[in-house]
Amino acid sequence: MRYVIIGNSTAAIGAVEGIREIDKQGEIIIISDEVYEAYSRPLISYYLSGKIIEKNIYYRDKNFYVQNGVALHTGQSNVQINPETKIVWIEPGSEQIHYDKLLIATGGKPVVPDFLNGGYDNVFLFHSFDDVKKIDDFLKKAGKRQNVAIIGGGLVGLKAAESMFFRGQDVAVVEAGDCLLNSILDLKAGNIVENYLKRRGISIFIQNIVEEKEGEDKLERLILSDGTILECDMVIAAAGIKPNYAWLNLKNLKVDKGILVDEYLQTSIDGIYAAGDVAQAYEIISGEKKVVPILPNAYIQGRIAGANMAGENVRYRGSIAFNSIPLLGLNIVTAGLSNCDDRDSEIIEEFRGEFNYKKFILKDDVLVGTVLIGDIYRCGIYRYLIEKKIKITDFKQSILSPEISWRLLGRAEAGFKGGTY
Amino acid sequence: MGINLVMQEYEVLRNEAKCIGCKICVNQCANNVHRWDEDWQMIISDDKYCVNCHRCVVFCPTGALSIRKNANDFTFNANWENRHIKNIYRQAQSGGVLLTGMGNDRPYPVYWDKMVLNASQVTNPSIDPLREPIELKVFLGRKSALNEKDEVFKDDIFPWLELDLPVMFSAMSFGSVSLNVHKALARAAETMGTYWNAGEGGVHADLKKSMNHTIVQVASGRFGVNPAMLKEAAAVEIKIGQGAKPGIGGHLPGEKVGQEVADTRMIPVGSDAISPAPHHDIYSIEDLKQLIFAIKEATDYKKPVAVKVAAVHNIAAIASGIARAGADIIVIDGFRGGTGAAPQAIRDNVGIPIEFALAAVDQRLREEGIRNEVSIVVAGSIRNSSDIVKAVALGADAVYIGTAALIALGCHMCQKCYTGKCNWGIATQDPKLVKRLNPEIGARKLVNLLTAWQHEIKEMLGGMGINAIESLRGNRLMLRGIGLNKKELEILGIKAAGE
Amino acid sequence: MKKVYVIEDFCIGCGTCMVYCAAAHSEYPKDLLKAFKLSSLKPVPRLFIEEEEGNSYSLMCRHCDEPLCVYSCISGAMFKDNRTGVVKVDKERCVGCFTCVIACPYGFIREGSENGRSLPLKCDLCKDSFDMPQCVEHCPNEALRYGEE
Ligand SMILES: Cc1cc2nc3c(=O)[nH]c(=O)nc-3n(C[C@H](O)[C@H](O)[C@H](O)COP(=O)(O)OP(=O)(O)OC[C@H]3O[C@@H](n4cnc5c(N)ncnc54)[C@H](O)[C@@H]3O)c2cc1C
Repeated sequence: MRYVIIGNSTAAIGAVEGIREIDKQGEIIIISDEVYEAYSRPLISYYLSGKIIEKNIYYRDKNFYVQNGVALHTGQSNVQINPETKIVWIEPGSEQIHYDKLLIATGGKPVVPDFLNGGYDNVFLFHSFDDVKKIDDFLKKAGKRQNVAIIGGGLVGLKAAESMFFRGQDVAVVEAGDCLLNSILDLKAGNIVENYLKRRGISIFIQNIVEEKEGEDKLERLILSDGTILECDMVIAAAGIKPNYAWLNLKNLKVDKGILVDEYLQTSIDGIYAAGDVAQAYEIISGEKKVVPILPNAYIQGRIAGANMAGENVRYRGSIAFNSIPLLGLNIVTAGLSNCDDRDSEIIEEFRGEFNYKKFILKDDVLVGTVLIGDIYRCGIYRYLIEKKIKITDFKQSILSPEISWRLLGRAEAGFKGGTY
Repeated sequence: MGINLVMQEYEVLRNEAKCIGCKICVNQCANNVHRWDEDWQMIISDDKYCVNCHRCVVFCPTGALSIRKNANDFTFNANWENRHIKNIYRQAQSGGVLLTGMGNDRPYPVYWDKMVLNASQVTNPSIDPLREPIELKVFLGRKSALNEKDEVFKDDIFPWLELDLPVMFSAMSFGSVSLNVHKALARAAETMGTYWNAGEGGVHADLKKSMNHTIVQVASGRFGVNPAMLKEAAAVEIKIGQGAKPGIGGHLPGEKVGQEVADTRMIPVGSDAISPAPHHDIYSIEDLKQLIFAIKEATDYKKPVAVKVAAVHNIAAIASGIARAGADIIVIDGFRGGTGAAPQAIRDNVGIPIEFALAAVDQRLREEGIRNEVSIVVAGSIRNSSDIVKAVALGADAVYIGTAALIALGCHMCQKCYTGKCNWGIATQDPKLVKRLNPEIGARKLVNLLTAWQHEIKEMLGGMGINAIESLRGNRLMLRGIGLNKKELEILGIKAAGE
Repeated sequence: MKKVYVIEDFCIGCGTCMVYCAAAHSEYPKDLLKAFKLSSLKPVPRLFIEEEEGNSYSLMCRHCDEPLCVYSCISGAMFKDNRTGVVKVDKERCVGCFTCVIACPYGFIREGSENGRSLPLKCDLCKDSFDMPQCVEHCPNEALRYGEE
């Protein structure tokens, strides 16, 4: 048995661990365009802010690859695949590698707004270890406090803002939508986060896009929709990511937003699986296939895909989005359709102080989303209720109780033993 | 309302240097003495609700709590003791009968403590129980025919209770005590080869499997009595009286009659369970005989029938009548016997000490030549193994323990059983409080207690050179009195120390 | 694997388990008074007492066979010890993002901090300092059992 995995991040590691649960012998080959052993992508901001040392960015122990019998090929960005003959070439013209099962775990690719495409040497992405190393070098060379403009007020943008703030820079965030983190927060919650960040000294420009720009080799000045002129020494692009599959170019591969996979995480091509940010798999709340680009999902999909590649028949039960994002000490957790406020949903919410907010979104007495800011005590229970679509009619009233209990909320599903994912 | 003149009985002392604010005291006190105060950000204790049950003291993980008697005494007056003044305040406030729980707490003489045991020296050897067997088994029940003319019993072997040691658990009804108490008693009785008495109120369905170690009661309220229960039980006890409240009936308030109690007692949920003072069908020894034989009929003459009476002035004559009425066992409950609820005036002033009652009954039955037709079981504050040995030497076949068993289960003798808020999960039906008594732990403690007593009894017997408890029964020569007057010695039938 | 189980009939919700749990994970694991009086941080219990309809239950991490907290950990700090089965946090690697807190279906992981760093707090069966989980050791009503299921 030979397994080939393309991409070397969360989903890939999940797959290795999934395979090794079943098959201790088979050969595993990982091909990655990055030059590092698998590192934790979300930790790049922690690295940049100086909260962790380089050693701790790695997702697994030093000897992970050796222990798991994985041959790792790094720095390879030209993989080619022939699904008919089940052959992979690490680079064009290299030795043919026959695979039995193949996993595509190439994640997402940052979306770069057009106006930043001009070869500016002070424009950075915020997606990879190399990206933050470049930023780090730039900061070190600059020596003085920099004006940093961050394009995008989503999760990545704010994590970038936070790390730059921790590095003592002057940070401004430009967001086109009507609030920060608008893929997971509604206006109310978004405003809380905005106020908090502003209070801490980060400038925020909501409902703004860059209308004009100035500068030659360097982007020096951005003019926003509301007329604000942003002087900038650095610009970080954090305008979203998209599933990274365009390079594949396989004619029988069914794709939509991402690579479509079935309930066993196999693509439309026999023997080829996909997992993680690149894959579009079953999502529980909508009942449809969606790209849910979060790390837990990447790991779990990778793990299940791995097990199935090794011959198991593990069904993927679907995911929901959930996030926990501490920003400058403010805890923000969300799960499900946390930014949903359509008319047929019921909202239960509570403010307990300026930066302490709880919100529950229900449809027909089923919890479909939640946002907790500040106090996140036992929030896992809510995530579970959403994921299991448990009707909470009986105890809707107590959902805001500070003494939230698993017994009370989880009893709807008797006999839950935990952890079959 | 005016001011309440009743002062707090106890003071809660909290050592703030040790208090960690964990609030265990708060959640353990069913009397709401302790509470967390948001303004003070500390635990405040309201002394006036404290009943000195020590639940908080025992549960405090850092030992920060202690309870003291309130030091505020009235001006000394040997006649108008504190308690009299306080009781008057209470009754002037409430207009009601003063209730209390557990046994008579007045400083009457305890005659067990005025009797000492003998031991062998030189001329007759003592026995080492670690080297030689010492038999503690006793059989309760009639040992000879009722009389020669009685056809029914002529050739029969009489039903007996076989006890591996001469101690049983006395009657405490489900209702007065929690189901978990019953479970603990039943398990311990089974393990130790003895019996527990379910009291008036039947046996909960969960305990059906222990019926062969259960004595059931037929009392004036007849609660829970049915033919099946009588047949399954090891023995049946007719309860005429109780040492703590002779002449008084029982009253289980409706609040304590939840579903389980109601099912077991066979009465509606929430109804008061009133046991009348007398059995309305018993006005004579003949009437008693009828009931005894009605029960014997119902149990095919296979179960011993006991009759329990309180120790009162004419106890010897009463016992003689009971024996002649056909009882297999006479149970005498002394005036220090416990209770779940009794009027304080009765508990503290009615009845006689068990030591006298026992001595008088044993003596009388011997004189009348009917001692072997009936077994004598005594109850009412048997506190330790030496009390048991002394009771047997005075003539008892076995003893019942009630209070001692409850203490083993955690009772701290606060005497507030009647409130239903027992913090130790014993005298309560509140499910939250009942849980506090884990019957497995309870049974283990009871077994330990009886095992320890068993060893001690053997040591004492061995010391006297006696190798079977049966040989000690009524052997009053093994007792001597200390500090007793002539009349007391005469009633007890023992010599003074030194004689 | 050996875990802590609550015997529901006998959990009286007194909180003794909480006190000893908090102390066991404090700067003075073996001295209750010091743990609460001298620790620079308030000791935090890893278990939860839940009450429902008059019943109470002491509950803590199930050390799941498929631990969602481990699968969800963004740094790789949360792991299931192969030998003991205990789900643990490698404090050095943890960045305190609390994704585990929202991942755990039971809500059995607390958000907390140590020396100013955010850290998730969870039951580790007291493996670091004791042979027996302290909640079990000190349960006054023997309502907690440490053993196989
Ligand atoms: C700054 C930041 C913060 C984040 N924070 C969080 C968070 O707090 N919580 C959370 O749940 N998620 C977070 N995420 C998202 C999370 O990182 C992703 O969901 C997760 O990394 C997805 O894993 P993956 O294995 O699917 O893909 P990726 O991590 O995107 O890895 C794909 C890998 O494949 C490689 N690759 C791509 N194309 C090729 C090719 N053709 N040949 C070879 N190799 C290729 C890529 O270089 C990369 O190494 C964050 C992301 C970022 C960028």
